Amino acid sequence: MGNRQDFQHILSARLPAGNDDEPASLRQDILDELNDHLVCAWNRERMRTGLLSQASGDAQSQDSENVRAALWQRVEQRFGDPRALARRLWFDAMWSRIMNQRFLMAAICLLVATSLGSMALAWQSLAASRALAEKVQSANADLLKELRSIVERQPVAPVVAPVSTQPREWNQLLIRCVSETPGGKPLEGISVTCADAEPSSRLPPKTVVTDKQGLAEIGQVLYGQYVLTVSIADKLKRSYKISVYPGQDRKEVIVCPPPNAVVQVPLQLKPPEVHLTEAMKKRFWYQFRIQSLSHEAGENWLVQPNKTQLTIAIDPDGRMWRFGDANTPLAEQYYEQPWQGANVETVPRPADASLAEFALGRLTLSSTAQPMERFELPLGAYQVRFDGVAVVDDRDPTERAFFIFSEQPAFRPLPLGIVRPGRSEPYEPTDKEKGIRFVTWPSTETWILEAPRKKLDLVEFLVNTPEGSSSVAISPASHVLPTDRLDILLDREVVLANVPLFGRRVQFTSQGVLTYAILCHLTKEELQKFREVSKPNRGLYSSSGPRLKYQIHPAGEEDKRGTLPADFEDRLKPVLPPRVKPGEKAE
Amino acid sequence: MEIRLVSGTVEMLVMEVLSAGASYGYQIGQTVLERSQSLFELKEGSLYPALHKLEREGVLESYWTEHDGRRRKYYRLTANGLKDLERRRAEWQALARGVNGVLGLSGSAS
Repeated sequence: MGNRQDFQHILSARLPAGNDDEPASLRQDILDELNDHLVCAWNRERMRTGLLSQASGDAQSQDSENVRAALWQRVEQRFGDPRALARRLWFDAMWSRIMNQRFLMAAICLLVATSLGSMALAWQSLAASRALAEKVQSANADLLKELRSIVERQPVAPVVAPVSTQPREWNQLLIRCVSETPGGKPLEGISVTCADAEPSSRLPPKTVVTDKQGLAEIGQVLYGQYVLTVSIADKLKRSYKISVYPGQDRKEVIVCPPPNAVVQVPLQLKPPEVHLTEAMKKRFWYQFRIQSLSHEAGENWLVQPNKTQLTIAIDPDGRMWRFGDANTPLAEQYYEQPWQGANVETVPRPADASLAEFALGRLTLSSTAQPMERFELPLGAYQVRFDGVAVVDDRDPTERAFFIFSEQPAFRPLPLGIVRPGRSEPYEPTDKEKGIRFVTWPSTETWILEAPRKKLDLVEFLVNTPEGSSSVAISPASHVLPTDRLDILLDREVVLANVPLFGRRVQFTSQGVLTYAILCHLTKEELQKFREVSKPNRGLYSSSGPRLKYQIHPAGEEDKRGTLPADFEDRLKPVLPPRVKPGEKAE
Repeated sequence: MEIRLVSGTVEMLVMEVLSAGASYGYQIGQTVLERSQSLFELKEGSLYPALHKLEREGVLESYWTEHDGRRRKYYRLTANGLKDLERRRAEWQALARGVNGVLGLSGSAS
């Protein structure tokens, strides 16, 4: 080693291996710079330590290894480890590049990991889909196997074409009708109509009747939605949609009810919430009419338009009595009405029957009639209508005779107990009464029949007294006409404010009042008193539109049309307003 | 006496030396040693990393020359480096005044 000392081999000993991103001159620049520094330091040490002459002297021969080692040791003591410094400078220069590389590598690793995770999830999903598809395929195969076994049990060759896995537009549609259960007896003669569900029908409707195996082969149909309508014995009908998919034949097993299926329907009565006495409650029977409707929507088995009509009577104990057909327990008699029917007898209205004068008719319960807990109805849609009320005829000790009225007393509600004359409205069925009820198969639904109640509220009588017109209202709490109010009626000109008793406009006020008095639980004695007065004064009734007037003469006056009982005056005194004679002022 | 320089002092000393003109690593170290009356001897292990750091920050710029058959790297202050040096000088003077004030040394106010 001479004056031209070179330490690059020492400096480069611990430099990292070459990097692709390393600038071309970086490594050499570091080595050159530090080498320059070391050479300067080497020369300085040579001069400081006096080894210069020795080194120089030996330069022509050669420095001894000992001298060079001593010099290098002094240089290194001052400089530190030049290899480590070269390495550090290299790393400082490459730091940002190395970190960028590492960030890039980490990002790539993250991306790869995310991709692998996504692939794993996709693979799992695909595996689940395959498992589901295999399960569905297995279920379809089982179903097909079961259908084939059912068909093979029959003595005819199966008409089902083998399931094709190839997509095709036309597919086989086969319907099988069985009775009551999926494995039930095949039903022959069931009419099955297949119609395109789309408004713009691609195919005309096709009707096929099931054979002995219960099979109705619709044949090849285009894939899409169809409406199947199944009719049994021209009585029951059911419609619903099915879908036919491309490349898949469709076999549908339809469980049908027996052709003459009927359902037991229990009834419960929800009586009107009126405050009637127990004695009055025992006098009321309620009638309902059940009519079948030709309703063909939905998925219920429905009755065809040949209608069924039943009349159900419910007694005060909630028991049902059916009448209106050949086995009627009730014999009906209608007064002076041209009613038609096998069990209807038109009879003249009795002249002496007070309540019967107003009644629509009279029913007599057969001695053999028994109440029912439930009744039978064919499948279908029905409308239940409250038909009216019957009142036990007091004159019949057997309590099997009734006066029937077209409807329950239907006075309109009167807020605060005040009614405005002439504005009463006729009774209208509620929405619930108009509601349609379905009988489905099988069904255990109990029908709760409600008698109307809101209309039975209050009636008001307007009384013209010398002091002016005043109203006499019946308590809405009791719905009972107080007897003292009745007395007022007897003594005054009365305007009945359009009282539509039993759903009909009263034609004779005395009958209307009388009927209402009966329904309001007057005693027979009180009723008799009223009758004694009203009967001879019948001619005083007059009609003025919906208003009806009735003039009852004061007690004790001469009356060509009759005389009140002698004690009537005393009965009226406590309740009548003070009578004011002309010219006198009321206190 | 071994004196530990506070952080950033090496860079400031290097920049101060280079404010007088371009120089190279060994000479910078010798200059600091002489000016500090042999109190501060910049170890190469801290001198060169400081030089390279200042060069990457744009405070210094470098160029190579040929000397005695070797390549030599010279450093010099850039315009930004000159401004930075002024800022460091002001900061150092404020620091020195504060420390002197605490220590009760004369001239702390100057």
